[in-house]
Amino acid sequence: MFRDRYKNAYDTITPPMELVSDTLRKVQSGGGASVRKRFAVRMSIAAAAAAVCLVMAVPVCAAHIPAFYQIVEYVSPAMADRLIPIEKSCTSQGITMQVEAIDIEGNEADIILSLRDAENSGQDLVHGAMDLFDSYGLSDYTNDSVIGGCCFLTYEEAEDKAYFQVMLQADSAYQSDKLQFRVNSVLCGNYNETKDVDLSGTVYTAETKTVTLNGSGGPLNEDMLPDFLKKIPATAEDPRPRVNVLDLMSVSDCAADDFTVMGTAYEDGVLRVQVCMGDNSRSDRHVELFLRDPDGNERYEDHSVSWHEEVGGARYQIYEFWFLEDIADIADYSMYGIFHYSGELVEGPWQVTFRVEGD
Amino acid sequence: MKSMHREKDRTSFYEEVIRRNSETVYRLAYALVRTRADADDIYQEVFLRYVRKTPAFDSAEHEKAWFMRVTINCCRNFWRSPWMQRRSALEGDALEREASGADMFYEAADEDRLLIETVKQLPEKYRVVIHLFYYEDLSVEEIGRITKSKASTVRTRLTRARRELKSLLQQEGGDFHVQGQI
Repeated sequence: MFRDRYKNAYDTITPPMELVSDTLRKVQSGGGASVRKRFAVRMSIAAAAAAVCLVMAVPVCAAHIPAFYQIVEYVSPAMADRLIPIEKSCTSQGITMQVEAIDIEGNEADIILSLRDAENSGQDLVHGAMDLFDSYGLSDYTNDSVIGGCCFLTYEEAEDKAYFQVMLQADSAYQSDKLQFRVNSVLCGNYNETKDVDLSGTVYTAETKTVTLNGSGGPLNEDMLPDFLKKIPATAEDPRPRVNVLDLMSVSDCAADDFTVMGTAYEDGVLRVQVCMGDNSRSDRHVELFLRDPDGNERYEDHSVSWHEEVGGARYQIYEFWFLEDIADIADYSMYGIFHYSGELVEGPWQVTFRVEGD
Repeated sequence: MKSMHREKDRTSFYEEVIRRNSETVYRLAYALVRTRADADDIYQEVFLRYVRKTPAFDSAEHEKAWFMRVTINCCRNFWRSPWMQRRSALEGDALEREASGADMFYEAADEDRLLIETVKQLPEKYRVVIHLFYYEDLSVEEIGRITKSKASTVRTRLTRARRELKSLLQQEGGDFHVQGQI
């Protein structure tokens, strides 16, 4: 029986004595130091480089430099110079959000913030890449941010903190004497997998259907696309953008919580790849596809469109990627994708009110 | 003096917890990463994270589930680390060779080695469910709670893992019959 064989095999796997003793020794000495014999090198190279620069530049106050400066200094030294420390925090759902610093000018603001498991929460929600789920905003009570972008900077093992940079823009200049920054929900435990996308099933003629788009973009503007990929002109009854996409597989056959490659087609010089992200209402699954030509050159799609379809009360998100490529034989090409998975959705909210001193 | 006692008590408490979960953590880590050295790193990271976070557990099951979850988290961090990705790209073949036998440090029969190494060829998400289901005897619902996935997802992964494993084992010439009631 497989279970017995598997158990027997794994019963022979035990931690070496020296590993156990070494771990106990580290625990006795406080357990503060991270282990990472080899993969400690990763972020610490960046942090160390930044730290060295910083310490050399301002040796007198090196001991008082908040950790986030080291990270920001690495990302953008110019920005680090402009940041004003805030260091105000708020805890909700066992996660502490701290607004570390802000750079505010007119109607634009850059915020560096961190998330960590709250002290004694016993949780392990913050342990790597995370996402703010497009749920953040900055307000001065009369004026709210209207455009925003967020970038995960790093997870700092020693502090157990995940750092983000949030870029915000409002309609008019922010009043910096009373600002409130909020995050409504976060996605924890994000990770990605690189997997091949099988092109062997590519069809050369395919049925299409018309869908109403909720997104489109890519390096190639719409006017450079062949006519059959262009948006269908809006009507008075339906002013929303629509387009014809492949109709190869029913969305109801796709996984709700995983990616499904719904099909590939090559027609009139365009390779079309349709991927379903499943129900993304509490998730942020997305994929980057790379087409590899016979010479080994890799590239992104030229354009992509996305839309939603309802399946039994759930809202599935589907993307179709378009590669304009003169393909003689599809067998000479290959494709892979970086599939970004997101973990648990934790709903806050977290909000911090602060004023910008010395502005 | 009192604080020294308290410190000593706390250290022996940690030791007890570590010894109690030592094998579970190490076996799961070894099932999810490729080599012994990687499993060693994960093992230490998990217990140092425990000491840093000092979670309070309601029960023995809660404690074990916490350690399994944190081990999985650490393995995922490990795989997606830029360092690891670079290492995989640079040492792909060497790493495969290492994983396929040269790293064998344990006293396992050839058949056991074959089984372990074949399971290691599965994607990480399949190895997690295989190990928790077949070694830790967890139910689909329990695995779902630990991996933060729906029971239906776990069930699907287990079915796909079994299918892939069966085909891999046949290629390797093994005669295991992979089945199980979910």
